[in-house]
Amino acid sequence: MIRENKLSPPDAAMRRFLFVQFAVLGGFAGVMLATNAVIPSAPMVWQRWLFAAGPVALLLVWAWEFFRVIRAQDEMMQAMHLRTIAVAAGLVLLGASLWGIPARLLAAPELPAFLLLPIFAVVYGVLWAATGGRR
Amino acid sequence: MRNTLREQREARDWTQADLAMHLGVSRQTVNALEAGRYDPSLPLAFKIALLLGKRIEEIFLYEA
Repeated sequence: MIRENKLSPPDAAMRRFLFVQFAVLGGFAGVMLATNAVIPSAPMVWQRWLFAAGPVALLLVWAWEFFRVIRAQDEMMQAMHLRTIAVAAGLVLLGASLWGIPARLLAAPELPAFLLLPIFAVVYGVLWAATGGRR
Repeated sequence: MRNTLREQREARDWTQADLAMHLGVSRQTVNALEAGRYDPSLPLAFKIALLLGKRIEEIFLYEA
């Protein structure tokens, strides 16, 4: 009889990723707000690049952690993740393209490209929950 | 494909999390296997059979 309160490696990796994801995406929102406030007052171009590096680094961390958690999953979970990624990426591309038409023809506000990855993360999370990924 | 994974697991008084840990897979995968929603790859089927000390065909039963 086994009664160990340990998680299997895929489950432990997913739990870790959820914590990291909330921290990174929360940090991204905070850093973007702070950077927007600070950059206009930075006189030198290199200073602006330095400030812009913060959110870029956070998005890269998120992408790397996402890649790591999927690599740590077993065969069934990897297949489910990859299907969800494909659908989420397709939906984000479709939405961004559709939004581009009124943005170009009707002078509606442009969708900032830096939001594509955070939007993808949200769509992915909703799809994952809706398709039973948390069973 | 039908399987006797749940019976084999319960006979050992293991939880799904216990079995998942021993196989190195997620608990959701064990759940899907037991419910017949997922058919494992051959390497995973062998791993399960080795862990439970059974032959593959004693655990996984093909139904045409």
